[in-house]
Amino acid sequence: MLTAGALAAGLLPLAACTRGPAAPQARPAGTRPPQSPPPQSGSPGTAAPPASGSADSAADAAVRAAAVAREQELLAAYDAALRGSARDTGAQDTGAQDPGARDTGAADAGLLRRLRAEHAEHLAALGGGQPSRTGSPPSRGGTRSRLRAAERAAAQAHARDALGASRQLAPVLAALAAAETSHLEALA
Amino acid sequence: MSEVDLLRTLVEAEHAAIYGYGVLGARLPEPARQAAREADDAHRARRDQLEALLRDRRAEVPATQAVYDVAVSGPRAALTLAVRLEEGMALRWNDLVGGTDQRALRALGIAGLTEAAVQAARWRRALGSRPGTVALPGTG
Repeated sequence: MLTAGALAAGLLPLAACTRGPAAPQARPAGTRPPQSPPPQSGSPGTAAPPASGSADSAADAAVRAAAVAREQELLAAYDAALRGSARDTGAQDTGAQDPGARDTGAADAGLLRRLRAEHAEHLAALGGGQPSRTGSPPSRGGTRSRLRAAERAAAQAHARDALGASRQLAPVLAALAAAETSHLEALA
Repeated sequence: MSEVDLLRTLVEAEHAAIYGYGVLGARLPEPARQAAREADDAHRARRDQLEALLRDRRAEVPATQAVYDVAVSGPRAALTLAVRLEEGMALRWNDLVGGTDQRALRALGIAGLTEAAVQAARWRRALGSRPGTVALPGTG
């Protein structure tokens, strides 16, 4: 049962679902543990690109390079989609036939920009590389389906490569795979 | 942390998530309540799977606690708790990914992390966030 103390304290974390360096224990109400220190930056779930002075194994380097290439392709696909969205919105502005369609175009562009920003974070998490500027503008009507296909393919490849990557790189690839899978519903 | 410890931690987290969904689901109107039921079912299935893995390793299976420290005042708080539950699970699943070299356990970790990330994004959208996704789920 829930205690008054728990209710008074508001929305308390379920200890077993919150991160901390020590093994978490789900605790009964009213027996909150002391605050844990923040997670260590080098813990498995926050694996970052190799710090200066360290290096990937040859296998990891190849896997990381492939992941960088996938993210660059996704960025290029979003850039192309955004160029197409801007062109379409401009055409609607001059036509002014359907303000609702113009709003939809703007909302689409906002969504695409946010998802693109997440891919830029992915690229940074992998240790860099510049976004590619290749990619042709997609035809109107096919933008989301093409982006969904690209996201799905990248997610599958990241997940596959995570299986054999080092313990440092695997969580990064897993996070990318999960993020890109979550993009599928956002683009639906 | 050993693989058994990681699995035990995940079972404990799933117990807490299941409890949390029981509390928060009651505060949600339909259709969100049905979505919470489905999420609860998914967590129960993962818990059972994890417990089986522990039994296969002849390891002790953590029991659920009688009560967890959680309070939900209304629908919005319920949705917020649901996001936090899934974010917490994502962290735990990614700990498994980084804590094992066994491909089967890695695959399980990736699947669990992905489920949690997708479900968290759904709850964030229910709270009004668009697109509701985060760049690096399970990385804290």
